[in-house]
Amino acid sequence: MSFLSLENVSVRFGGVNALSEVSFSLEPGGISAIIGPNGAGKTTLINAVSGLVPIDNGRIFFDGAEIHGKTAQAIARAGLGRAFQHAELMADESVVENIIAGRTLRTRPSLLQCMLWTPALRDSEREARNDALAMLEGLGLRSVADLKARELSYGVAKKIDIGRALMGAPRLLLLDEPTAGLSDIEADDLIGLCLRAVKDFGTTLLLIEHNLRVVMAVSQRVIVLDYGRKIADGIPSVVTADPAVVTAYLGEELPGA
Amino acid sequence: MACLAAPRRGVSERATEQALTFLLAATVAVGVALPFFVHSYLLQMASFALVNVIVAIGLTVLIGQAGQVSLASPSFVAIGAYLVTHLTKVLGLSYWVAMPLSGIGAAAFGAVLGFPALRVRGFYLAIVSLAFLQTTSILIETLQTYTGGVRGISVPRPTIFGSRLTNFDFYFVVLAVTVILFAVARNVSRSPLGRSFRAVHASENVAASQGADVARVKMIAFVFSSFYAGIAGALFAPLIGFIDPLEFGLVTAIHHIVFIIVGGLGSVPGAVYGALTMGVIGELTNGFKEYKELIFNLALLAVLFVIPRGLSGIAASLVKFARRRRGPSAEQTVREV
Amino acid sequence: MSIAIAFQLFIAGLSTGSIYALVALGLALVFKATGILNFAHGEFVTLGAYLGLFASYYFGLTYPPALLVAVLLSALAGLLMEWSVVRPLITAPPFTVVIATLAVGLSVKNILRLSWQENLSTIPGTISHAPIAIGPLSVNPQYLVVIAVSFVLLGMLGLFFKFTSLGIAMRAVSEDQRAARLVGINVELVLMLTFATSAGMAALAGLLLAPLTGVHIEMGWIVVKALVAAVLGGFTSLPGAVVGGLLLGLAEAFCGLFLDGVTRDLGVFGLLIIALLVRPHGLFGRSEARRV
Repeated sequence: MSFLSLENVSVRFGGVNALSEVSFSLEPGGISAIIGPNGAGKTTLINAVSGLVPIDNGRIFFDGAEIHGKTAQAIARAGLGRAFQHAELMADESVVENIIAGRTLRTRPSLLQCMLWTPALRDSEREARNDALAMLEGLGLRSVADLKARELSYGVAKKIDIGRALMGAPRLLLLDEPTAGLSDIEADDLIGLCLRAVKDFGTTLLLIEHNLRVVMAVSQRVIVLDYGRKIADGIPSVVTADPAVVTAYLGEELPGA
Repeated sequence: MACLAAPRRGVSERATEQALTFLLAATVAVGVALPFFVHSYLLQMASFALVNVIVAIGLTVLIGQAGQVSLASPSFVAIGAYLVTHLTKVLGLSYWVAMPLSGIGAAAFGAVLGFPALRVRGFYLAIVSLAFLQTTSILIETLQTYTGGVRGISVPRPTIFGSRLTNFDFYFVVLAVTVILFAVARNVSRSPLGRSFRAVHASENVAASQGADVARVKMIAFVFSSFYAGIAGALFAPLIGFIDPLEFGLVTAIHHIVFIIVGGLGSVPGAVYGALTMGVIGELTNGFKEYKELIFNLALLAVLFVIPRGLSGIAASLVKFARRRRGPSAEQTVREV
Repeated sequence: MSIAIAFQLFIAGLSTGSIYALVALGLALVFKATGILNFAHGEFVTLGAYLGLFASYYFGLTYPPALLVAVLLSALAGLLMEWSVVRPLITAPPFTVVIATLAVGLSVKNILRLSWQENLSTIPGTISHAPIAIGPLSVNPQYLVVIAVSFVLLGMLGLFFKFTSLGIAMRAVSEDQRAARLVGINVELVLMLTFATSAGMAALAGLLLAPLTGVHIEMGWIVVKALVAAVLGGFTSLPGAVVGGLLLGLAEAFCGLFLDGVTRDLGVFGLLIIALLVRPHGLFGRSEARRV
């Protein structure tokens, strides 16, 4: 039973076909990657799946239910989380507040409860805060808890963004270029985080990645996009040897090829 | 009575927090002591200042936290004022029942403004709110039977146990309501709802992809702030004793915005001191007669130059200063991970 | 409705519409260049009219030179405002800057009120209101002058923005300040000149308005209507602001036939709300993909 499936999904922006008839389906569990040259439509794909961009054609199913046409918040509530290419944190809020938001934004708090600060609310807030601090502990970032998000370095902000997404207990987590802009050490760190997410939370991961070293190291499945079309789909070693893929990247050196 | 939400913060923040708590407590103490030292007329002015504080608190949450620009605050004050007058004078309800009901009534109208807010943002929303403001003004003039039209309508002071409230008594009513509404607003700011406001403000898309019901959050922000404005109106009407429809135009809307800018956008304590500061400046410039307005505007300009981020910006700067003075700490060095 | 009346309404509407267009364009110009809504803009309209008044009253200038002097002085005032108020507050939150412009505008208004005691004045030397006949139709020559002057100015501005290096520089700065700086444009100078141009246009609008409504301290309120016009046209579009202004003027003129002033204004605002709900970015504005 497929977890996420796209059937002939097309997205057009003005005259440009950002995505053309893209189809694939993922099983639950593990890590899959989407790769492709710049402008291939990878971010558009993630935006379409997470509901931020409407699709012009095709269908998207998540865990059996149709999600194309649904609002981003409905899709998020259905268990689909995402992190952004440039960690879109609340700049003026503290790190811990940003992490807590990953859980509380979806809860629909009642105005009256919040006005009166009921004991139930106090307890759930305390719990959320403790869990957020535990998350930070797990990320090795407990010390930045009280800093404002805008004071963070790029690499740390990206980790916080993922931590925030994980607070929502997503069953499928979409990551948009998680290692972009990170040094090798930071990238490895982040990938370690992803692997732990899969192991500890049972989250399925779908990454967009440029860093082929990372892709080869962690993903069980690679999908390649070029000019909005899917040109390859399979296990990393096979895909990266595919001549079409090599051509798309125009002679880039592929490890193990 | 609900206790205040109290988030835990880092060391510098905690120190500033304590200083602020002390300042607020001192302000309330001054507020309580004031009537015993001050002339009755000045008490009426002080009550009016507190009414403005209430409006400012609601507005700073709407505009500063939720990021929903609105110029329509005077409309909701008007609705609260006219509702309370109608409920007490015509329907004979007790003021103590009519006052909260008027707040709720204004909140309902706030939902009306909330609808266009779901489709338009920022500057365009400001225009829509401006249209709402003008429409309400026009309606006030046309619905003469309810509002007395351009001539205005008189409002009696409420009674308690049979005797009519004086400036002295009514001041305490206004002060009590202000303190309660302040605490409530602070609760909301620190609650998940407050967090949702700020998330929606930061980015609607990002908030939505975390599961936030953006439409609901915006709507609640409007309802909340118009409730505050409505209560303010319901206090304002019997305070002054007369509702003048000219009070509810663009000029007043701008005064309200000035309160929250001087206080610091989004800060609830800031709104309090912003409204009080501008009220004091307004009173002080009264002596200049025909130069009054010019001096007031120049004073406003000066305030903006000195504290562009408002009074709460001062608090933020103090935190930064305190942190820097403490020298590099474990926090800062780990930032470079 | 007879042709004669329709024609008169058309001319009247086009005339007030041109004035709205001038004011709206000035507002949009500054907004595009700086992202700031200049709340002092309305008072520059008033300033222009008053300066024209002072030029003729204190210096005996006739209308045309008075107009020139007033426009130039107002442009200078606009430049000063950018340099002394807007630029220093560049790092402040946008709301603060907006309120600062408001405070400036109100201060200007206060100073004008203190400088001139009359509530309503006229600038001598303007054309009489006596209607002239064009074939079977009669029309108020004031309106024709306003339309002529406005259209000439708008045409000149169009050419200025398209063909002169300064005009192109101003457009560049409006699109992307950083990029403009990178190609060597003196952004600070351009911003000052943008404010100056905007203030000059507002002043001209005020001087064109003066013969129609008289010179009075509340002339600045026209900026609210100009704002409506600019929004209708799409605030990110300069031609849109012009079109919006003209349309608003025409709509007002023709609705004025059926509805009195108050209901008409209500109707106009109602139309605006509906227009914004249907097309949130106005007629010509760019729309963003929104999905909530």
